[in-house]
This record gives sequence, structure tokens and C-alpha cells, in this order.
Amino acid sequence: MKELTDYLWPKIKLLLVPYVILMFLLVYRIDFQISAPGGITEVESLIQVDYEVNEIKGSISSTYVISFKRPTIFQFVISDFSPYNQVIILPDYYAHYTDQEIRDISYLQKMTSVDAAVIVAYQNASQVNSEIVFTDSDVYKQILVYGKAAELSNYDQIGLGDEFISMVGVSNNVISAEDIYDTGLENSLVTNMSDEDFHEFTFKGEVGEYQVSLTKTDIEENLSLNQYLLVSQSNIYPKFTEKDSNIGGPSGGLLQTLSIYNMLVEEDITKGLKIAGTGTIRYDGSVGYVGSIKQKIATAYLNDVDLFFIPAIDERYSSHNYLEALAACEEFGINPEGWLIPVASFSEAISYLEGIE
Amino acid sequence: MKEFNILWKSFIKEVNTSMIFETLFASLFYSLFIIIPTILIYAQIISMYYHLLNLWIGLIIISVIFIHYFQLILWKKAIYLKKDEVKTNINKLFMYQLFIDSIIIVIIGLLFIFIFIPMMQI
Repeated sequence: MKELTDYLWPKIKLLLVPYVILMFLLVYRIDFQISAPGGITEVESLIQVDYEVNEIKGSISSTYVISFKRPTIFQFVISDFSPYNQVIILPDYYAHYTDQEIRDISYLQKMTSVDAAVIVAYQNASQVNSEIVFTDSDVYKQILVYGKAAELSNYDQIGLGDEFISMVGVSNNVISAEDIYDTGLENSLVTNMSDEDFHEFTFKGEVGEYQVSLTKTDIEENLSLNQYLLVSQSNIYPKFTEKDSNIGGPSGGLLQTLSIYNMLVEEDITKGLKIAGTGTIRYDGSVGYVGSIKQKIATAYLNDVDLFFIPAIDERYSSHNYLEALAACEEFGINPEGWLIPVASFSEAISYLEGIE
Repeated sequence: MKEFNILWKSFIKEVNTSMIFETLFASLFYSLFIIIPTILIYAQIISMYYHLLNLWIGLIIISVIFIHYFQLILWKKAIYLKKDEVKTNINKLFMYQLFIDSIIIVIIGLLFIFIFIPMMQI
């Protein structure tokens, strides 16, 4: 070792400064977010339904992109060499989250989007296939933590994805999750809290139930609670299984719904096509907007898909996924005619596929 | 393969085992200075250009072979620095070694391209 060190030392001294600079570029992280093309994943490989249908000749895939929050300087520089990549300043609502918290949010979005997809797919399939058993009683509600601001009291105690159980109100009355389902978050929690005092909240996380003290400001501004519909599998037919995946986020909702539906009905809606797309699914079957459209179009293009579903123009938003997608198609030289299909709802997507010869 | 075994036996006989290990660890230690940034560079390039993953695996295979070649050069240098006169043809021995290791590296890389990566893409 000593002989080799003595031999290499003059060279090491010469390279030391450039080496330290290189390592700095490779490890120092900056507050930006980079989106890059990812891949497509056949929904069938993620969600399987225990039901025999005719052979599915085509495929239905969700599209994922690589979203890199807080890249290193090296990543920031190399991302600029691709027309598909996009760099933005890290949004404020992500700035205080750790990498693990961002993964937790992504996992929560994925988990709840799969349940929404199951609800919409089973409800629609049960209308055309009498063997499918799915009723309103197979769905239950939960209020989950899906965001928290850096100013939140007892920030570290509350986990993303934890379930809200109850709160002790201003006159020692207990507000449970069921009360919120009936009257809404604003009416049931905020109106029962005093402006100055801390109130005791009960949440349920991985370690079981726990109590935490929060103020009215926390509930109004610092803690995001959302009501979700989840599926209980005890009485439904057929059962489904969901595999673990390292892909998160809600944007595969529409394609998950289409694929699950296709696994429940006799007719193969794919017609032998390689179908991909993006868009969240709401419980009423409508399709919601998503981010990173340009990268998703690039991903679909690079994976030779036959048609790509995109959320149709929704006047409630100021910038539109469909227009972004058209711009991306023009940039990459893709003919959107018959390839880029805007849909506002699950039923619109089904109607389009049924109309294909 | 027979000549490779003969060369190794002669090498072990001539240069004792403790010296072989000591020089091996010295070469591995200094190779780490190249291996660590290389791993970081590839991990970060792959995260930005994931759609070209198979191309990166191909380049990683080539890089690993080159780094291994560099490590063998350091190993040889460390041996000569410890013992000037080695009669065994170390150049030939290490070229055989590089050839065999390269085949293994290529096989592992191809396993990633055709089996492990398609399995992980869910």
C-alpha cells in the first residue's frame, strides 16, 4: 500500500482539486425539479383480477415519467441536453418535504387512485356483466393526511397518509370522522375549535392510534386532510390483487380503470392495440388533469404506442393538458390525428374504443 | 485455460499469498477513487435519460471492463514496486484474467438488459 501510495502521490496531488470539484457537482443538491421521460407499464402487471375473460390481444399501459426533485448540479446540467426534459424551480409546497415524505405522498396518491379506478371499473362493468358483484356497501370512507406545511404544530408526529380518527372540540365534544363525512371538514372541525387553544386530535398511522395537539390555524392552513373512498374486498366478485410498485402518483387512474374494466367484461376493448395515456380518475368517472404532459407524450412516442388518451379541455383550468400535448406532438413531429385522443370521462374513452373498427 | 492456471500457480509460488492480497487491496483502494464518481455519474445520467437505459447498461459494461483493466494495471504496478524481479509473465496472466472477467461482466450486463430490468419495470 505504502509503495503504491508513494508512487501515485504526485498524480493524486495534481488531480485533487478537479476531483473535489467533480464530487461537489455530483453530490450537492439544488432546489429544482426535473421531469424526464420514463416508461409505460402494462396495468395488468400491477393489478390482477381473478376472473376469466377472452384473451386480451392488445395492452393498456399507464405512462410514468421520472420526476427528480432537488437534483445535483451535474444532473441539472446534463438534463439540458435533451429536448424531452423540463427543469422548473421546486414548487413551494414541496420545498420543505424530505425525500421520504415526497415518496409517501406519491404512494398515497397511487394507492387512492387504484381504489378510485376499481370503484369506477367495477361499477361500470357490473352494468354490462351480471356476474360482477359490486355495491355501495363495498366502499368505505376515510379521511387521510395528504399534505402538511412546514409551520404545522407537531410536524414530525403526523405522518402523510395517516387516518384522521377524531378531535376533541371546544366544549369537549368529540368530532369523529363520521361527522366530517356528513357535514364537511370546514363545518365539523373548524367551527368546533377555538382561535387560541390547542385541541387534541387522534390519528391512526403505521404504529396504531396516537394523539397530537393542533391549533385552528393548523387545520385551516397547515394540514391538508382529504376524504377518500376505499374498497373493501370482502363481498365483491371477482377479487383483485395489487402488486407492489415503485411507480407512484395518481396520473395512471384513467388507464388503470380501463384495464380493470377490460379484465371484467367479455369484449376485449383493446382491439389488439397498444393503448397508453394519462389522466386521473374521479369517483364519478370524470378524468382529471395531470402534470409533465410533454414528458409523457415523449415517453409514449418512444414506446411506439398506437393511441394515447389525454384529459380533454376543462374550462375550470387555465392551462390545458390537451393543448400542451398538441404542442408536444408538433415539437416531436407526431401526427396527433387518431393518436392523441382527448377524453373527459371513462365512458368517453370506452365509447371511443368501441367505435374502433 | 490450462496456461492461465499454470501462470497463476507460478505467480502464487513466486510472490507469496500475503503480498498478492496486500497489493490487490492497494489496487482496489485506489480504484475506488474512480469507481465512486463513475457510479454517481451513471446513476445520475440514468435518472435523467431513463428511456435510453439499455444504452447506459451497454456503456456501464464497457466502463466496468476499463475500470477493471485500470485496477489490474495498479495491481501489477504494486507488485513490481514490492518485488522488482518477477519471472512469471504477469502481463499475460492479467490479460487472461481480464478476458475471463470481461466475459462474466458482459453476461451479467446482458442478464440485466434482458431479464432483471424488464422484471423491475412495474
